[in-house]
Amino acid sequence: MYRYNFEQNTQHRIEILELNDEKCKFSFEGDLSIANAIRRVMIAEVPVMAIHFVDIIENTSPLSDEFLAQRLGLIPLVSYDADSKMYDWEADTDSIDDQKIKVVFTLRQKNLNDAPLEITSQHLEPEFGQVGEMAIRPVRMFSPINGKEVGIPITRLGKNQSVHVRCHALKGFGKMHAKWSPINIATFRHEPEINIDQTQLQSLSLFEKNAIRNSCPMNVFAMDANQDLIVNAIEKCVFCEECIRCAESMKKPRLIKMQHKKNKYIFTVESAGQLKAADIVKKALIVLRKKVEEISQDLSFAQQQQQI
Amino acid sequence: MNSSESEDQDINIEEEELSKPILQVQSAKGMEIQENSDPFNGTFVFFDEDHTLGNSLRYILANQPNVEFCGYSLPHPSENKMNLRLQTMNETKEKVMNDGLKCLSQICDIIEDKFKQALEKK
Repeated sequence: MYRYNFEQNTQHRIEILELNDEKCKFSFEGDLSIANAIRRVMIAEVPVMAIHFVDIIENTSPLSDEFLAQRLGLIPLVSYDADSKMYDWEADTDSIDDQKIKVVFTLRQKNLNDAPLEITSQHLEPEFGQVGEMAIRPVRMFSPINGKEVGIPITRLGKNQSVHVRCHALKGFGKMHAKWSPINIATFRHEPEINIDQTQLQSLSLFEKNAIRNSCPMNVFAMDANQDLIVNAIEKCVFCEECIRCAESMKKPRLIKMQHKKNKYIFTVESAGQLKAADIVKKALIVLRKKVEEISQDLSFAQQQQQI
Repeated sequence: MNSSESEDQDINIEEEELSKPILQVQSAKGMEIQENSDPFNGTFVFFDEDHTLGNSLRYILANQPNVEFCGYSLPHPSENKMNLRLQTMNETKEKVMNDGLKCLSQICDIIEDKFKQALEKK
């Protein structure tokens, strides 16, 4: 039964397990449908900026206009400020030229050399001199080989080929198009609960205990000081049940009991760079709450109309 | 509809009933509301909504007092509708729906606070 405030307050618990700008791992206690709603909102309804309109002034690159435009759209833009009052929705304004809805980038390159020139996201120049932490800018990409900053490749120009485009970045969310999704990974899994039957454990030889410990591919089990089998790293368990199979082969089927902890989930959120991982979660909760509040308003509006 | 989100995210509610409509009102927001004779049973039709809202709202309504039945469905993916069927006892379906929405909004609030607290601890 749901009553307001007290029960809900004690029912929902959040603990952060891992946190940096790119990745956030936290445990969430609450119902599955709420957890799924948060996950869906993170992927599809948190607003970010992405290039949406491209004015092609000159394009002699090997990519066709629409191909180039599609690639430009998929470049992730750092959008810390996207959902603030700084940027409006395109649908709320009259003209596409309204400065309050967009950020404009210019890409103008000509290859005068023989060697191919790789055009990257570093060549995108913001038109209005945006600077600072909150500026809308392409996400920085670092080479996996030597850690140096490289740009996200857009196209390559041969000799005398050039590209001159104006890109308008607008606010959107994942449901409209995947380029507006701030997420690389947003999943949640059940938290495991493993119980070892202590009476049966006593009857095991050291060899058998080692066999069970080694059967786990994730090294969940360990031997403690008393040469007893204990669960050491429960968060690593992936429910493969190898340990249960091993126990069954030793004719001890009820030795290990593996369950999902009821209503407890471990979220892993990895950002694509547009927003910090923790911000994605915060904004998702705000978006979900605003959605519900708007529906509430619609319903009371509808009821008022009925009473007239 | 005055919404801070784009038109794609228009959220309307229409009450669709099997029995004869008694009152038909065209509201300023462009919604059509049909009153029916049964205050306790009804289907709410949400536009531009999906499992995100449907499943969570259904769960909360199903756990509210006085609810006899609650279920949701998306009739067809090509159609932009989500139907939520609510059958109540003692209280009107609008009141129970309102309570459910308030409850869901509070839960989001609480989770937000807990997340912020957890971040501060880290």
